[in-house]
Amino acid sequence: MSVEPDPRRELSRRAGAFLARAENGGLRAGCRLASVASDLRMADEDRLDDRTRAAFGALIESLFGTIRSEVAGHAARTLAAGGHEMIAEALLTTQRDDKRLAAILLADHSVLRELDGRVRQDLLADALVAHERDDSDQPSLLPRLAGERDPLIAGPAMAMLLALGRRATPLESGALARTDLSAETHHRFVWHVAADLREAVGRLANARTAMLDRALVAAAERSLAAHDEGIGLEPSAVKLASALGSAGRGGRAMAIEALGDRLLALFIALVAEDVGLDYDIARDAVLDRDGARLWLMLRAMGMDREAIGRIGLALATADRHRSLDDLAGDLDVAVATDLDAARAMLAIQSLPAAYRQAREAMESAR
Amino acid sequence: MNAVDRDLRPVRGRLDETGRLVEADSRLADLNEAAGGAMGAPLAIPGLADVGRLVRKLGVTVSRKLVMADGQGDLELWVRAEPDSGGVRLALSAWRERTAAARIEEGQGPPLVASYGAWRWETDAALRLIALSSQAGPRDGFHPAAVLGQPLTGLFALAEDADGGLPLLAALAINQPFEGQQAAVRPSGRRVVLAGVPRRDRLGAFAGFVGTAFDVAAGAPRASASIDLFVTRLGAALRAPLGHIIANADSIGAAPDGPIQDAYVGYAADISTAGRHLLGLVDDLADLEAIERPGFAVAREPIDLADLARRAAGLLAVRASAAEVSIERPVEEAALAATGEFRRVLQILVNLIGNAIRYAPPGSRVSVAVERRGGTATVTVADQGKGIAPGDHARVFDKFERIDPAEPGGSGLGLYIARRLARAMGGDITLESAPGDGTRFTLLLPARA
Repeated sequence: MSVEPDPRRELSRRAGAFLARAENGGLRAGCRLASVASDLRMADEDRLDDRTRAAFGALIESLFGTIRSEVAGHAARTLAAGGHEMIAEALLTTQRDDKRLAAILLADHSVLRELDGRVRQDLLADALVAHERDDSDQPSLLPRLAGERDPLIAGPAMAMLLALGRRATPLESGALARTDLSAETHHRFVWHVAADLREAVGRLANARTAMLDRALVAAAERSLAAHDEGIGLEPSAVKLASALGSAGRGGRAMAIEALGDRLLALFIALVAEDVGLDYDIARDAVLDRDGARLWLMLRAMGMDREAIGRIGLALATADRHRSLDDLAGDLDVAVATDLDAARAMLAIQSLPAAYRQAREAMESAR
Repeated sequence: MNAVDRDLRPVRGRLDETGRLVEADSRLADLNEAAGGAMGAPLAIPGLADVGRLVRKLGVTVSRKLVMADGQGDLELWVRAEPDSGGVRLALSAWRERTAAARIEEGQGPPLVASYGAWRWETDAALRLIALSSQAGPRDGFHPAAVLGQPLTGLFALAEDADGGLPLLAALAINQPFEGQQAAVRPSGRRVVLAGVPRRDRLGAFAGFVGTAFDVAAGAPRASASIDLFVTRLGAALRAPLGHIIANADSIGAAPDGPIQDAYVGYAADISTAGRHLLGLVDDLADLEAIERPGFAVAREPIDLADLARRAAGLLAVRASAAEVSIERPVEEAALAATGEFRRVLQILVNLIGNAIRYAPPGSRVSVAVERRGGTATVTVADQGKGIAPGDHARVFDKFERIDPAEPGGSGLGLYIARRLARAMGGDITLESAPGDGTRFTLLLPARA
């Protein structure tokens, strides 16, 4: 038994929204046409599925929520201490349009790439099925590594365990214990959220806008200072893979065990480490439903048909959009590829990203 | 739950390069024959034939759990298929009957992230902690890094239940979910209750638990707190997803992107109706919890009962017209001063008029009339429906009772809540009805001079 809202109050609220919609009508028409054009151009395999779309939405909401409550909370304390309780209260209670903010931030290609990679990596990792272990009484890979004496291995292994816990179990409210973003992306998020809060309560501040700006800037700087990108999941996996590689313990067997333990980030980092590529490039190859690039990387690691097939099958079991028929055809070609040829094909990609981008820029400027 | 048949030797077989069964132990040969196959002919057991095709295609070893029909029941087993000079070598092991419970349980994912001070944790097959909620630690005086990678029992001291058992270990032995495992968080001694669901590896064997830890003090075990728990946590958790389900079902039913098959419009309408019913139930349980809480009180404010009757009728105008029922409401100039809580009186009237619309035959009229009887202000809602037998008059005000159980919709809580609210405001709800003669519910409240 529920009581519906007062119809008169509801009507006046809707009237305001109605006028705003009318005002924005022209803009919307342009956006709609752009959407139609991009939708028609889009290939089916590039279309977001519902699960990915929902996970993306949830991540964006959590990131904004987490950063906003941090920045608004700190700025509000500063303002309240200065006797501006009303502005402080408004900062804490304002409702913002995450979609608008997301559109601005995601227009940056590097931000979009980072979030897209994270969402798809987490979804794939979640769907992976563990492989059977020879001795199930022995701890699995990560607890074993975290318990080693060598701090170069135990340290990042423990950081990975902590980061996996954060990823797998968000706080009650959907807020994140840490954003786990790269420093650049975290930076962009924090300043945009601060600017968005400024826009929301700027009108209330009247003559006191300079003080509002100072409080928001101090809060944003505090959040930036507290951020440590090195303890995120991916940087920890990269550090661990590098330590294992230096100790001569990386490579094929370790990568296969990592995937068998559902440690997708470590698997990606081990592949990247072994073939000398950036984590992002190896991740793109792992997340690409067309496995060609990944098979080439695995071949360059010296994997045989059985090993590549095992990895291909594990990924196809976790993602029903991957084709087993294509995998069967690809395996023959991959194992027929000479190891040196595979390495040579990856060599260009293994050059530093900045150098490759600079070369591309020179090419296009010619 | 049948024990896994681990002691038996694996059943073996071999397929040739075209998928024909060329060698088979008798048990495999029997199953293949029962499925309509024969030696030297293509393998007739569908799931197994798929695995064979996959191995021939990929040329790699495939290990997986398989379910196959065996007479009236299902068999669950592990298959390992290896490429073998163009053909495929099969080894089938760990046969067991597949129970209905196993089928249901397979559909269960890990438990939802629990809220309100509950942690989520995860272990590997050796029961080492591999994930822990980030809020775990500070309250109990430890850092997650001190317990991650360590045995689960390093964090939780497990306590035996009344029968001397440990639910977690019992569940581990049979690879099943568990709940109600009493434990203490070692660093602080705080008591928690653990629940968990097994994660299985690709052969179906135990690969770890995904679980939650509830604080005993904040948790559910006290029976008197159970409704409170439902309302504050589950109610909040259910409203938003139900809202989405209803909105999406409605939009599917409206076919905004072009025509869809009528059957699907029907399904969407069923989903939407069921969603609304559940949402109504959540709201009713929230009300139930509120009125049954010790110290529940309503406001005594001056209200105009005629105005409220008009508002309630207005709110239900759309539902009435969909049911082809007309509502006769008090005229605009009518006023009747009474005492009660505005929101709660509106709620009662919406319930009474809503019931009347539900039971009124199409084309009939529901009348809503106000009257002052001495010191009492009344609103009477009358329908021309089939009426209620006198023997049932008391029962319809009971919890979880329905005027007509055959009618769809309603939780059986509405009238119970309405009467409790009316009595809390110093009034009551009465009923006059006879079969075939319609029903008149009257809300009585203290009149105001």
